[in-house]
Amino acid sequence: MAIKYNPKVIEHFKNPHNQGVIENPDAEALVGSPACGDQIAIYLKIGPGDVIEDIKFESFGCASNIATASIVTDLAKGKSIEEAMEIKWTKAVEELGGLPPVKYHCSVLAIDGLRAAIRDYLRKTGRLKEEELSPDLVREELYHVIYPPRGVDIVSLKRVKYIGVEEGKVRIELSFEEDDPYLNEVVQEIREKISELPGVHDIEIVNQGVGEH
Amino acid sequence: MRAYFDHCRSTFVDPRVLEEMRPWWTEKYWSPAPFTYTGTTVAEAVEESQMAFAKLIKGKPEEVHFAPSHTVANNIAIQGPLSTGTDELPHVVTTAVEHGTIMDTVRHMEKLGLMRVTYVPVDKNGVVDLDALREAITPQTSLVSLATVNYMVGAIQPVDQISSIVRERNPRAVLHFDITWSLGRTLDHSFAPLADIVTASVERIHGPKGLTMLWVRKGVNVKGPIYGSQAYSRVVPGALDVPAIVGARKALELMLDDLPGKIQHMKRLRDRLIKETMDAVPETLLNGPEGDLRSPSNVCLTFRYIEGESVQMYLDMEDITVDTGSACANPFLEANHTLLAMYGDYERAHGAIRLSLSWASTDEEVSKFVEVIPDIVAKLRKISPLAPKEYKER
Repeated sequence: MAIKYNPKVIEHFKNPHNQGVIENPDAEALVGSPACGDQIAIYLKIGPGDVIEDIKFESFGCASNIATASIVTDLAKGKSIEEAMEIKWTKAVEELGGLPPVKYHCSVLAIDGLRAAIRDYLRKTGRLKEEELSPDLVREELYHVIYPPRGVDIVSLKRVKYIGVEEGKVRIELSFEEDDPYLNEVVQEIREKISELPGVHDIEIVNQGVGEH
Repeated sequence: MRAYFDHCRSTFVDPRVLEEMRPWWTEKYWSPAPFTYTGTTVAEAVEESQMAFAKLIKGKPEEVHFAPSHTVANNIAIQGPLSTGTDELPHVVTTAVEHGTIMDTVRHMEKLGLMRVTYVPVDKNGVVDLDALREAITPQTSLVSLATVNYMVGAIQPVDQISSIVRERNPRAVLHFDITWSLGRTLDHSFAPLADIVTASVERIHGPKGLTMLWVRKGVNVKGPIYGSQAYSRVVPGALDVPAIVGARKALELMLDDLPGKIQHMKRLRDRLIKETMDAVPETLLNGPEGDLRSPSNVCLTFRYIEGESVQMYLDMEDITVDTGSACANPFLEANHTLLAMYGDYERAHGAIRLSLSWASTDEEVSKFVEVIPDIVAKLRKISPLAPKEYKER
């Protein structure tokens, strides 16, 4: 099947909105990792009433990475940080008129960048409630790991079989075919996301394979 | 007109090749067979192609077979010689930088528990580490399989030394060379005396799509993995794609016409691409070897701080086709393993752009690329969180 970008994605790629840096931002965040191939930096200027007055992004990434950062910053601009926290990656995909499922993880990264920047602001203003590391917190993060060929997160796909947390050690058991070509990418994404959680010292990811039916 | 720099993947079929092929579909559409006019007419045409390839690589015509695709040919080359007749798991030696047609096959077989594989490392140029190769080959090794020119960075492998090491360490080990990226890129194609199996896809020399020559030295036992009628070939069972086999011979003939001139032409364009791009774009890294260690048709560059798929897409919008090592452009989101094996640097792999040439490439195409690339890189560096400040203020 020919996987293509639609004209709206191309337009945002060619002429991205809100691209650049804010000098002396009120908050900032850099998410992603070189191993996965894309990184996004988000800068925020917050005004009275916790409203996002200005937002800028930088990107090391592909066309859809740049396009989703462009649309997500558009969506967040002028909103309160509470409202911005509620923007879903599916909304970004919808606003772009759709993305190939294999690229959904780009929009997740842009949303993660926005949320990380807002958390940075809450931390700086002494309002961040550090959540305690728990299986639920880990599961929340895993909702943001997309299985590329389906464009659906691995929790909804029931590929996460077990989450264990003990003294900063996180164990995650997955259920994928042993030779699933996307397994490496999924494991890398999990590592990247879980290592950002508070109190994580060690991550163990085990693929149990797919049981006999 | 589009500037096309992806000849390492595919080339246009030369119109003269297509002309040569046409009657074998429409008028002489028969199958090879003994005695009859129709059968022998076709059999002779196939023999002519066998002779042409045998002459090129210095093998015997009856040792030349034709597979319908590069992947099929390399699967036969790798899986065919492995029936050891004992319970012992076959040991295969390859390199860390092979093309998918070898790499994905051995990785899969390894996963299925059907072979033990040693991946020999390469140096910073992408050239096989000969000491590591020597060490990897044991009396238990049944097969050594590698490409004579690397598809990604164009590193020309020291085939004479590799062959001597394999023979010296284990004379019973089967040596497979995939010469696909050597075809028309090196002056000397006499690979058969050095090896036991040679594969060569003609898709990169303006030949028909898919068709791949598979030479197997007489006496080398190749069985499977494909079964069927062995009437035409004991190595590649099934009916023959006669038009493609005829077209492959024509493509070879055209390739050999002034080959030194063709190589010189590609070298000049290659060096123009490298020099003019590196002059125009600061912090550009050349991946792979310099000068004569490099295939005349390969250019592989990384523009620091930016990602390859974006560069590829911007170039595409300017009607320029290139390839990239970026995970973003890979269907399984994996960065190019050749570049990772060479440099261990994800950013370098994600940022890599490969431009591959043929003798049909032109100065106009090179100029078109060199003209647009500085602005594309500048634009992407401007928005990259990894780029130093100086790139943001332009």
